[in-house]
Amino acid sequence: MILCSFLISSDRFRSRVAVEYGKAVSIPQELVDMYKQGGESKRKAIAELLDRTFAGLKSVTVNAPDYDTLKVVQTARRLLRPVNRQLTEHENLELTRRLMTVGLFFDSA
Amino acid sequence: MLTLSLSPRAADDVANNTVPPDVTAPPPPPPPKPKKSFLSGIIYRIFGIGATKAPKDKAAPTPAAVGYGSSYKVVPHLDQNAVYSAVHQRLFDGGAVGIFPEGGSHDQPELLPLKAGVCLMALGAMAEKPGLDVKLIPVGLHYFNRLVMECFGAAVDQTLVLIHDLVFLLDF
Repeated sequence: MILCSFLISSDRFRSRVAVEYGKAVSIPQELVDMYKQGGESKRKAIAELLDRTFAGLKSVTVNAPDYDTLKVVQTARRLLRPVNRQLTEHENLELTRRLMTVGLFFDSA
Repeated sequence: MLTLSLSPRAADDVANNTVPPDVTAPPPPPPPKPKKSFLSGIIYRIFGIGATKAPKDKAAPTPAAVGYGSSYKVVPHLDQNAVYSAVHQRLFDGGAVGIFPEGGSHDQPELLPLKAGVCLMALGAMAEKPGLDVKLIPVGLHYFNRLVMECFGAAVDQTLVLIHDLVFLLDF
């Protein structure tokens, strides 16, 4: 997690942003071979790689199925904030993501 | 009516006639099928253009000239090959390319389905040059502006960095 102070937010210059790097997605040689074959297997290779990329991006973003769930999770995170110290931005994001997992579990149950 | 006015020869006929053409008349025979790329093939099938280029000085009939109908524009085919080859060259040189694979700006709390272009670039580069190892680094941007965070739900933005060598990550 790298915190930079020079990137811009959508409505204010020089506001803070957390840039989170996920695990690199490697491309196996099988997919390249499938891509080279063309046709249906090319499509399959692209779809497979898209899935992996999507999973990678999901691990570094906060994803909610709808706006209400996001609000609930953000409220829960604020309630869980410890009083004796401030969470780092990385901890905050991780907490949000974990709460989202829990929320989705109870939502589907 | 759209295909009639857009077909190669019909354009100046409609423009020169003060009387609207007989719409019940059989449509003109289709011009020979052109051998073109996939996208221009679609445009040809939908709009009937692209087979033979209409002369530039003969403008398409305006609604005012014809007396009825409404004006429209045709989106031309955009050739993306230059972009792909530039990206490939960059990766061959050991560089990194930043991509926003969602392909748009939105206010949804969830990721949009990704565009396939990023995979085409990665797989295409690796297929073109054996031994090249392209890595996809998922990057999430989290903004802290309260207004953005809470009014619009998701203040996250996704960058996908296609990276050739992990060492280059240190250069950022």
